[in-house]
Amino acid sequence: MSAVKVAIQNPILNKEVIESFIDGVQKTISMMSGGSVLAQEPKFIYQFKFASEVAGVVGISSKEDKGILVLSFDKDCILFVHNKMLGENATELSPSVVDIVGELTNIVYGTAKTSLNAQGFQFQMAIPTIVSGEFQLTKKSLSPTVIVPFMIDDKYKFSIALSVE
Amino acid sequence: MFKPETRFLVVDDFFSMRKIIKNALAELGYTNVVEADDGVSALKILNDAKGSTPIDFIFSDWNMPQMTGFELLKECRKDEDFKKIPFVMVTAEGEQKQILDAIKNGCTEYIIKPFAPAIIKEKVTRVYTKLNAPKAA
Repeated sequence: MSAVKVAIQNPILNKEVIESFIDGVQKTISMMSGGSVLAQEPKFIYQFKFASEVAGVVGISSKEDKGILVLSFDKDCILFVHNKMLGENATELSPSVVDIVGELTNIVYGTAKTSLNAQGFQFQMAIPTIVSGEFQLTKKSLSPTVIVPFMIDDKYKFSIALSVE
Repeated sequence: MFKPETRFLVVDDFFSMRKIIKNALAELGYTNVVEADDGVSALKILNDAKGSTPIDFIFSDWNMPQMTGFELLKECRKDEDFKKIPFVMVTAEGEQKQILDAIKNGCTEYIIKPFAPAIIKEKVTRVYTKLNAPKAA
């Protein structure tokens, strides 16, 4: 069996895990922004490579399995979410806007973790980091990844990526 | 309800979350709020404020660098000066075991993120009611 096939069978990329993260995203972003959040079709890629304007990144692990969660936003999307959450009118990726991406990443992971650990997983909490500006995240090794795009109010785009190590 | 001058300590490593809680408290008329970004800073604020303007109420996140909210809770509950301060955990940690651990260790109320700002009012009201409930004879 190829390394890719073995890696994609990693429990972090199974249906329950992906669905729990999708639920976590929908619950978190809709509650905090007041918008209607819809998930689009997940895409699998075999080499982790990810570009965006601002993203929260957190290491995820359950038992022996490790991966990362990336929650990334288009600029207008995170401005919409930030301004709804804080009642402000930011127009740029200010420190406050960037900070909120970390908090949202933390909440999404916490929400998914609660649901998954009730099903027998043993996910551990970790503290997210934030990357902003025009960046590209890559990993040298073959890292099967699922990317789930979302839309808020059919207008604002963001996505999550789950990648195994 | 608590007096308007009630002094709140809001502890979270993300200032956006501290601001959300501060905004919710301001809507209730509470503007005497100090902030800390982890348990170590929170303990320092609590100790520094002891004699002059003591902290009356704590909202704290669980997962923070240096000292978690759970460790802060335990530190508070073993300190004679802080053990009666209402302590509301505000966290993405929603597992039953963690909620029970927090309650067993003296957490007054528990809020699971994400939350609507109205929950802050509900918890402040509930804590006030608990503290002012008539004692059984």
